[in-house]
Formats: sequence, C-alpha cells, structure tokens
Amino acid sequence: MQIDWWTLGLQTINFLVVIWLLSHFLYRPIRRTIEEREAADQAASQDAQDKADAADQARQEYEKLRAELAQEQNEREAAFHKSMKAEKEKSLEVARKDADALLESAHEQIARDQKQALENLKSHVQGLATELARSALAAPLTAKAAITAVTAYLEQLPQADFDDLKQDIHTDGGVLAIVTSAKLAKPEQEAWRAALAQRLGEEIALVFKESPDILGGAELHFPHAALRFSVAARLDRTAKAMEV
Amino acid sequence: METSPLMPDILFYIGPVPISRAVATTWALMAFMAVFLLAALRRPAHDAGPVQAALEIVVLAIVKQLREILDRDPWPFLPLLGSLFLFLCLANLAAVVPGATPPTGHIETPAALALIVFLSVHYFGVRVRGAGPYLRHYLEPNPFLLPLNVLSELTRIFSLMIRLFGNMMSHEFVIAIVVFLAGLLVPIPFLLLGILIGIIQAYIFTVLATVYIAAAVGAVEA
Repeated sequence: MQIDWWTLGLQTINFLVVIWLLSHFLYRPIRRTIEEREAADQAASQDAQDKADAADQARQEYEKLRAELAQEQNEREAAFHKSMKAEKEKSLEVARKDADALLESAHEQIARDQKQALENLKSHVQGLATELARSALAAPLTAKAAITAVTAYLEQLPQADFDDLKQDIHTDGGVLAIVTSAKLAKPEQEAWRAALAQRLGEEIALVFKESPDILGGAELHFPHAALRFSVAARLDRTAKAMEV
Repeated sequence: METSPLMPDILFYIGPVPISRAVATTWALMAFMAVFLLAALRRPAHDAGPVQAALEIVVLAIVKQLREILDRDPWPFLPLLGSLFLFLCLANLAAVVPGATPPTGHIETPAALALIVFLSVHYFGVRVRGAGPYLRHYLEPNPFLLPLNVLSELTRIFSLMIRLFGNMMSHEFVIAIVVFLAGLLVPIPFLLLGILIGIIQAYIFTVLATVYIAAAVGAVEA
C-alpha cells in the first residue's frame, strides 16, 4: 500500500475547508436562529410573566380594595347600628319620659278626680245625711202624733184596703201589736186603745211591744200587714227615694 | 499488470499536484454541501421550513450527543466534531452514487481526518487545561508510564484511522466481488447495508474523537 502525500495534504485542507464551510453556513445560522428563537421565547415568556405579575398585582390591589371596602362597610354598619341603637334608646327614653309624664299626669288626674269624687261624695253624703235628718226630724213622732197619724191614715184609707185590714185582725184571733221605741205609759196605751177601738172596733186584741230599732214613733203590726209610722220607716223611705 | 485498488486513483494533475478520485469526490461533496446550505439557510426563519427544521434537528441531535459525552458546552467543539460526522456520512454514502467511490475507502482521507483529530485533541487539551497541566497528565499516574501514554496516543489515532479505512475499503471490495460474481442487481442489499455501515462508521469515528477530546479536556478518563 502506498500513501499519496499530496492526497493526504489535500484531504486535510479539504476537511479544514469543510469545517469552515459547515461552521459558516450551517452551525452559525442555526445557532443564531435558535438563540433568537429562544430569546423571542424568553421575551414572550418574560412578557407573559410580566403580564401575569401585573395581573397578580391588579388582583392583589383588587383584593386589598375589596378588603378596605368590606372594612369600611363593616365600620359604617357598626356606626349605623350604634347610631340606631342610640336613636332607639333616645326614642325609648323620650317615650319613657312621655309615658312617665302621662302616667304622672294620669295619677294626678286620678288623684284630683278621686279627691273631687270624694269631695262630691262627702257633699252628697252630707246632703243625704242632712236630708235623712230632715226627713227623720221633720215632725216629731210623739205618742200623740203617732196616734194622730195612724188615725188619719186609717181615715183616708180606701174602704177595700181598710176592710182587708179589719179582716186580717179579726181572722183566727188576730192580735194587733203596737210597737214603740220606748215602753208606753199607761195613759199612752189607753190613748192607743181608744183611738184604734173607735176606728177598728172594740173587739180587737192589742199588745204593746218595745223595739229601740224603730228610733221613734210607732208601728202597727197586723198578722199579715204592718203600718209603719216610725223614724226608721221614714229613714227607709227617704233612703229608697234617694236611691232612685 | 493490474494496479492495486489500494493505490491512489489519480484522475488528473494541477501542475505538479496529482488530483486523486478521493480528492475530486471530496470537492464534489464540498460543492454539494455549499450549494445545499446556501439554498437551505440563506434566510433562516424563526418559523423553520421542513429543510431548515431537518437541519436543526440534525445539528441539535449532534449537540445533545456531544454534551452528554463532553459534559460541558458543546458549541466550541461542534465545528470539528459535527463536521467530522456530517462529512463522514456524506463521504461514506458516496458509495451509493453510481461511478463514485467513498473517499474514506482510501487511506489518505482517514489519515487526514485522524491527523486533524490528533492535533485537535492536543489543541483543546492545552486550550482548556493549560499547557502545563495538560502535558503533566502524560506523567500520571506514574512518570515511568510516559512512553506508554505517548504510544497510546499514537496507537489510538492509528486504530481510529485503520478502523474507518478497513471497514470502508473492505465494503468496497465486497461490493466489487459481488458485482463480479453475481451481476448487477444482486449487490443492492449490500449497497443498503453499506449505507448502514457508512453511518455507523461515521458515528464511531466521531464518538471516539469526542471521547479523546473529552479526555484531553478532563471530562472523562481516556
């Protein structure tokens, strides 16, 4: 085997030229393109990152603003609630004072009315008492006056009623009781017997009874009826008339 | 008397300089590369077309392979090692062109490439590590091993050259013998096998050169 040194030298030079050729027309353009592409990608990535950062910052600012608004809203709500509570308490206080004033006024009015009513009642009672006293003391009911009043009553009594009284006293041994507040003396009893015998007949049976409750005057108690000419009867009649 | 197929096939002379078939084929390959690259990468675009994308894929694949072996930025080593791989691929595949013979089938071309690799190993070693530290590694692990280390440098380059030359030359012989014995169409499978062998030899030569350079710059143990 023989080595051609010219060929060896030329091939060495040729390969060095190949190195230059590929380096100049292949590796450099491709590397430059790749680097530019990577730079563009990096720039795009950086731009995207910047936009993401800006969006994140905007989101943080939004969150911060929202938190501030929420806090402000809470503070306003708290202040509003506080003012409402104060207003409510103030209104309640005013209402309470008004109610107290009304209540006090009502109490005073009730007290005045009560006092007035009491005064009126006292005056009325006084008037009643006066009227009762007047009626009770209008004509003194002595024994003689009582006999006169009974006799006059029987005189002006309608005949039918008078007959009923007589029938009542004469039926089954009836007794007519003369009731007085104090025990009658003998002459007074005789005066009663005489007056009643003249009007009702001699045969009637009389008894005399005492009852301090009638206060004065006299009452005739038939078996089934009574004629009252006593002070108590006057007072009863006056009281019944006052009730009306 | 028949001339030996291992003898240089001189086509013509330029003055006193004989131009062999290997040199002429290499010039043709260089012209093809120049025209193709000028056409394909005249205005490289960010949105690469199919040809530019294919070239980028090839270059990036080489860069990735170099980075894995060198364990450092591969771009300073790309002009030598990348060109070695691409040139060997094209030179080895020249066998499929009718009438053409691969330049690597003659000893001068593998010898030229091995010579450049030999010089580049020391160039990168001194450049990266400095002259003193680089030369000192020949004394390691023992100064008595200096002759063996120097001999190792020579023999591995020699084996690099002979491996490429032997494979491509033997493939040429096989094709010639098969054509002589079996006719025209039978060698086609051998031609397809030659494509595979050419690419594999280009890969082996480039990877071994990369490993030698990596050892020189301290990336790996040689």
